Amino acid sequence: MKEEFLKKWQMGLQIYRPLIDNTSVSERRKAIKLSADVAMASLRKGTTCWSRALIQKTATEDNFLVRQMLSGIKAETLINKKLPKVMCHRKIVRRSKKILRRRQSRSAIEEVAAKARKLVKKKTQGLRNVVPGGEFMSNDVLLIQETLDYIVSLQTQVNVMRSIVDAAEAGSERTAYYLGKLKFAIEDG
Amino acid sequence: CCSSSFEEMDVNEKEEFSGEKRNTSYDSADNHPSDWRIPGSNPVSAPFGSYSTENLITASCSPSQMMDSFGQTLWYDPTNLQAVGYGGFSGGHPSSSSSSCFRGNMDRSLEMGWSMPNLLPPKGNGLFLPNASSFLPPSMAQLPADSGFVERAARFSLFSDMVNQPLAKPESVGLFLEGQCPSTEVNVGVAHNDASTAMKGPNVRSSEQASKPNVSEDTQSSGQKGGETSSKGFDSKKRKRNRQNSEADQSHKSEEEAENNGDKKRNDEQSPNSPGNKTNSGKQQGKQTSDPKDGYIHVRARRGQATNSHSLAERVRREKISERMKFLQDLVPGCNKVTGKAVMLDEIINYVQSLQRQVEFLSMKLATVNPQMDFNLEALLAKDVRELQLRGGSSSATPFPQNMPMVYPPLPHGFMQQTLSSIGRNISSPLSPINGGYKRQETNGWEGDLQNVIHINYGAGDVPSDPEAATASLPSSNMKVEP
Repeated sequence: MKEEFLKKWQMGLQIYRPLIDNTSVSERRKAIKLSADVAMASLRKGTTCWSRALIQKTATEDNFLVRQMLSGIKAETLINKKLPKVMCHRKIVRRSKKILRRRQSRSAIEEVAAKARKLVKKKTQGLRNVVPGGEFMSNDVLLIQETLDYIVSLQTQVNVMRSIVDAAEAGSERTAYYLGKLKFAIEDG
Repeated sequence: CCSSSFEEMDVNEKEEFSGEKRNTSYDSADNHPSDWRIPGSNPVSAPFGSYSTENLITASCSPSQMMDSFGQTLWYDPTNLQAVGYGGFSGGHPSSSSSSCFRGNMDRSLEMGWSMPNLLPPKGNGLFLPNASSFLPPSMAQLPADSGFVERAARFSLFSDMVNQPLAKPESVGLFLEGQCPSTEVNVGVAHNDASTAMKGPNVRSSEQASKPNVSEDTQSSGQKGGETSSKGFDSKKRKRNRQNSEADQSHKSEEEAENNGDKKRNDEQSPNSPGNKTNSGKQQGKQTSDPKDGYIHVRARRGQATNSHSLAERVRREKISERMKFLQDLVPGCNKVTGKAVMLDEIINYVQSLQRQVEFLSMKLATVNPQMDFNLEALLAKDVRELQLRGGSSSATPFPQNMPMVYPPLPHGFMQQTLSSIGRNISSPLSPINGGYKRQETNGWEGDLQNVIHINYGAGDVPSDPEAATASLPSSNMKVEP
């Protein structure tokens, strides 16, 4: 899977190569990150919610890139698909639930359980904020499933990028030497 | 030998993926990361060679690839069961080492599942079972549930399947996934009574095709109550885990369960919404099973538990969630000690955020190190390999470039600390499988961080010795970086 990601990422970067004139670091960083993200999401070929959300998010910023990187009709459908509106409904439901809940019994155990549940709900909401497209996942099971897959993809991405960074750096003899020097200097104060 | 391995696997099931197994796997994995690389495909495919489709075989043959990508992630035995569910692989691995590779298979099968053309689109449910031999038991009460439940139950059915018919030809799980609605609240027919399914194999298969649209939860409750007294005795046994006692028992039970299930099935068909409608008398056997195309999950109430349809649905949902949290526990490093949803969710959130930050940081670094971005794939990969080899071997000091002392003082100490802390523990573990030799030389992950940081600032202050284009750009980056 790493190789596939790498290939796709390279493809994306090739698109940016003509724009070699983006000399600013931030421009380049953005290009790198975008192409990496789209590559990662395209590996899933639209089967997971987060990948679709990610592609749609990047499509707003760089439609061309997305179209190039995803081949076939898939690209069109993914880009043009509207994001589901589940998010709005959730808030409404939650508010109405809160109103209903005011009148329930308040035994000690129930209160504790209720607090625990509230905490968990808060955390799941936090998770939704982090995972791309999390707000549109209607139930917790799906959310956790998507999180699993997303974490796996992120790990792959990080591994590949890190190995490339390592590879793009200077030779190893210098590495060891620099390390020693620096560590020594730091320890000295 | 196949059956014995299945027995073990069942035991594992029963123990509910007990913690100690997990921990041992953890420890072993920590000490021998290279073990994962062992083509665990051999134990995987060997017993089930006749069983698996070619897709499975290809998947199982590439666990090493998978393991690379997962680096430090620790997989352990229980996950292989999930792998069965997900990848349609065979039952379990008795050994934890092979289970780690198996986990790789699981993820491989995840991808396979997504990419295989003959599989049905999950329609919002990301994971589903390719080519798993799972045939659904006679109908149980139905519950709205997610496809994950399908997989889990299919997995269980798989076990019984293999116990009794190790060479049963795999049925496409797609069968019962066809009926999945796009919505996540999907009711999927699921193999719950493994023994019964095993015994009733041919019957079940033929009857799988019965269609049963839109049976609501009420049927399940009705089925439960219909729960003729005889079924009460079976409730405890109907737990998925308490299957596989003995063949005799199974055969005996299966018949009765078939009857029960047949009853329930008929109940469902006749009166989806009337709780009072039971037919205890059903002695008919081999009734229509839950339709795989149906999209319904049949769950039976456990002994001593509420049979309210809502609570059953809740229970199923909770089980699914906790099952997935277990996988997340494997994935997120350092989560095995944590119990409780909230804390674990916290950890997961932190981990995801840290991974995202890492991606940003690495992309920034790439942007500075390689301003031309002319990535030459072969060159980079070749360099990567070479780099690894060199790192493993070299320890000599080269003539120190003149400008280093000048450059170093400007390096803010704080920046380095921050870099180190932000990357944190994540650096060392992902690095280790990639830079095998590297780790040997620099056992401290901190050193890896240092190296990264240094190279940001120095690029190559010295003469680049590599012919690749990437290093040709380094001097320019060096120019850029130096204040």
